[in-house]
Amino acid sequence: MATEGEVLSRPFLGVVAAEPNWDAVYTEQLPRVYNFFRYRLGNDALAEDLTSRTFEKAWAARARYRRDLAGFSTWLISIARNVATDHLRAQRPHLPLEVAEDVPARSTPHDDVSNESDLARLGALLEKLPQREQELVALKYGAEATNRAIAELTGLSESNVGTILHRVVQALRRDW
Amino acid sequence: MDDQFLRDLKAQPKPEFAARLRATLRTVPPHAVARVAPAAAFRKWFAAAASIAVVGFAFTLPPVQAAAEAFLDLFRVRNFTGVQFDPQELAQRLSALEGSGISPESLFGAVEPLTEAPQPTSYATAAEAGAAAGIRVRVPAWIPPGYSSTGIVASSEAAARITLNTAGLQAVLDTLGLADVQLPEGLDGQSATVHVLPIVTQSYVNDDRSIHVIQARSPDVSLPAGVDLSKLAYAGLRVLGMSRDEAYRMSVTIDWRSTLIVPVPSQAMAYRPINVDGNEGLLIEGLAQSEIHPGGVLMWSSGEQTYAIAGAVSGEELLEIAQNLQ
Repeated sequence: MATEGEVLSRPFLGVVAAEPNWDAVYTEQLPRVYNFFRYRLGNDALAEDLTSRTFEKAWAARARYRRDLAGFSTWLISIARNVATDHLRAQRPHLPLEVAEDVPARSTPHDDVSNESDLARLGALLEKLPQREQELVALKYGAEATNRAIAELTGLSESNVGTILHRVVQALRRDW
Repeated sequence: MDDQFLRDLKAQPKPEFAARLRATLRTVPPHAVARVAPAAAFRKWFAAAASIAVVGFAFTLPPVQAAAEAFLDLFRVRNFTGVQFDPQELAQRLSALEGSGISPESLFGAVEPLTEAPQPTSYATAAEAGAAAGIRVRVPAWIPPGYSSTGIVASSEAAARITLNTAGLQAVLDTLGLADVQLPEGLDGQSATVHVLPIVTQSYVNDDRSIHVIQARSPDVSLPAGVDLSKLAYAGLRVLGMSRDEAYRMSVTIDWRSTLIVPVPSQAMAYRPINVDGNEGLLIEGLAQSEIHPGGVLMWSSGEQTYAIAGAVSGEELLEIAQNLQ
């Protein structure tokens, strides 16, 4: 009996394509997206919320990538970037007070107190950096993207990505 | 580079969260992957985008705090920002306007052409088209395999004056139920002038798919002096369907004199800022909703020139074309 990952899809343009195991794709990609948001925003609850939004946006169109799972991964992270940008834009100054009260604090209770404390500490250090640097850290260490993938996502050159990250990590280490 | 301290901060998603989201996703059916004619899809999108731009522009006409005839403020497009909108919701809104007997013409009051309507003219070479348009036309040194040129077209220059009819605008706001948007006093009868400079389009086809490389100088928009564009941009964003809070936040954080808002359909679209030769542009992918030829648009400005490349190809290919313009 065919497993879920081996189920053949309906004919498309005369080609019968193997349907990827989307459950496996989900399992693989979920931590990347989730950690991208954790590093980007420093908040577990917010990371869950924005991760859900990202996957729901991407999932409806997943069939487009059934023969390009690497492309799906990149696309997923690009959606996550948009979701994060939209969220941050919505949190900028000029917030009515009643809205601001609903914004979760940068840190929340977490099962792993030490990890949560360190994440909050990192968040405090990252907040001093420009948005671009903050995003590069989230892509590199949260989403585990390669410098080449980050270059594709951001439009920076690969060497520029490496240089900026090196500088940022040095600064973070110094203040850690 | 000792970056282990950064790697150690990763965490696994909570199992209950992962299970809940997985259950939700299992209920999401994939969009039908039907091959659509990309050209038709692009036309549809551009038509929607254009109509939104028109509606949005009507609401960005400024309040007048100085002499009505003093057109001192000019703005040019330097940056692009994508704003998602729901095409179905927008269609309902436009339908509501039509149902109330509001025609597009009444949004503006009066549109007075200052020149003949722009006429497209074909040219044999990019140099000839550039000479006619008054710009240096850059030609792609690389296009995806299988495509061949179908020609170069340059449109003529055009200009129009738009005189605002406040009553028409207020009727739109009333019909859409946007009670939070207030039109400033003194707008009625004021004018803005739109000056569209020649646009050069190089087209390539492969079977029923096409790529268009579009180039022009940024259009000039002359507005009465002393304007607060952020307040009026708020109205435009609300008409697009944005929430009150989000429209307000965006209206006060964007430089409206140099940023072009690009409407992005919400369904399964990805858009992102992208660097093209040192200039920040905007890449929209997945417009054609086709698995094999996803389609997209890449827009950016460089110097006095604004560029757009649209086609039923991947974002990477659009960028490759852009980076190989000579």
